Amino acid sequence: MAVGVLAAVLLAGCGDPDQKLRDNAAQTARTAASDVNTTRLVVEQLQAHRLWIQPARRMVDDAEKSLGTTADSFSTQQPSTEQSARLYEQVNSTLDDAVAAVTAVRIALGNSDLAAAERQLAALQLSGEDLDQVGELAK
Amino acid sequence: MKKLLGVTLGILTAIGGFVDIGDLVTNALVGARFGMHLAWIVLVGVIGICLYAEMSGRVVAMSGRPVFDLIRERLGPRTGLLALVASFLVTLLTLIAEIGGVALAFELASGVSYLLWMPLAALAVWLVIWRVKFSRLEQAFGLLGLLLIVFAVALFKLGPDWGQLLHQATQLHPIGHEGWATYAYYGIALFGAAMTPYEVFFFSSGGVEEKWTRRDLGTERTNVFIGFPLGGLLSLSIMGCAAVLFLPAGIQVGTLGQVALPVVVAFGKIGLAVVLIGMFAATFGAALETALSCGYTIAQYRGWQWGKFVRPREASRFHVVIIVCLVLAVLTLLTAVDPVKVTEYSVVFAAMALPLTYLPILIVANDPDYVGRETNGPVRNAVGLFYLALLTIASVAAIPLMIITKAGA
Repeated sequence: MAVGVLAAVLLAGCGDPDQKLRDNAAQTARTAASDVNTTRLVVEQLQAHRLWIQPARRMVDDAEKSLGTTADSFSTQQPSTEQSARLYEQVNSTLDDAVAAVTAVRIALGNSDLAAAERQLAALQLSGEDLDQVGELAK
Repeated sequence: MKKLLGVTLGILTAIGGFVDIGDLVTNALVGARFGMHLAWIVLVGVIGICLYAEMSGRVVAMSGRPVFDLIRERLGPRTGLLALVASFLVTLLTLIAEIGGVALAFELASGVSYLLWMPLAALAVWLVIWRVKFSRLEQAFGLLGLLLIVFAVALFKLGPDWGQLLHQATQLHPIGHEGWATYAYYGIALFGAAMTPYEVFFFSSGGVEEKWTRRDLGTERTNVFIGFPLGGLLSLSIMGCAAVLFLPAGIQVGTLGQVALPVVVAFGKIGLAVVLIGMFAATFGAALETALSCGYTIAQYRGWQWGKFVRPREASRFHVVIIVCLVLAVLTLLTAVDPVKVTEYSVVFAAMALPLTYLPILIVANDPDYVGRETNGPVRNAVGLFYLALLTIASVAAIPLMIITKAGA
């Protein structure tokens, strides 16, 4: 039992570092895409007058916090090859764009400025698509 | 006519009372990540809870004594203590999650932080337990919880491809990026949510509160065999809504607001109002049930006077246990721990405690000293043992799967 656990731990630590970063990036992107798409759905419902601003603020607040945690967690990764460094930069940049778009929506809703929130829809759509692409990396 | 009304009311209460924060969060979360590929677990869980709730109700109707009292007497103080500790801790964790759920529902509606609502929610739970009659308390929140049927209506309104949903439900495997370990982990969580131990303790203790006798066996069985499966359909509709709206959009459910979103998409602001009241009723009702169950389990094990059928002064220690548990719930939530995360963990830990809860019930339901001629027949025992094997597998696998999957991440 103990030998099995030790072997599993050692094997887990000896994986291809590029692959590990790719897997991590994909997982991070899928989680981030979820928050971006939630924000987009909320703004679309607001736009269609199907949702009150109060719960919308709450939902976007939650999405922003979750996205911030996800982005912070990925930024602590250690890329060890040139290829993984490029991926690291690309994912961080995509996450920054996503955080910026969601934060802009949160600020707009905080100011009850629905027009400003709606203007972020295109950015949210783009961020979601970029994150979806990164999310497919692990396949 | 009066009897029919009573039976109908019992069924409606059972449906509305079936769904709690664990069911709301777990079903939405699973639907968003796996579509309907884990729907079969809800079916397995509902059959299991019907089986064991009927057994515990029968024990109460035949013996006039609550299940935990009999567990201690039949299995001895040590084994009884093991069952008590496991069930009590899981019920306490569930109570924390339910109080958090009530506060989150208010936060969504008002925008005021759940940390401010939570002490008020706990105080309201205590006041209702202290002042309101058992039957009124059970019926009021059970019936109000029926508003969650809005999920079933929303599922129709979202216009899903029913063939696709059915196809998903018959494919018992993970999809996309999800692995078998995550699939199994969430399967156990769903199983734990459907078979939460407090449901049985509340159901059987409620039988004593309402003074069930042999003549009430028919009503008890109708409530269980019609009310719980319809409650299970409600769970499936929550999962279905998430499968239709969130799965294609790549949205993972991590907040109570997200659970409500499919209803918003289907019905707009009115739908949101209905679903928020339903969520409040479901979580508040379950908070009452779990708080009472904390008191029931300890008081029944210790042989103290318990229940709402006596004045609070006569069951003071029972009420003190409830107050202490509510204070513990508030203190835990004041650490700003995410109530949704507490919910996710509570259903998995519930799965771990299931054999310790249900094995004693199976034993007592076979003892003619307590149930007379109403002991389990061979079929019930065979199914009961099969479920016990399932519960044991789920219990043993829960922690390793939690570690391997990083709690389903």
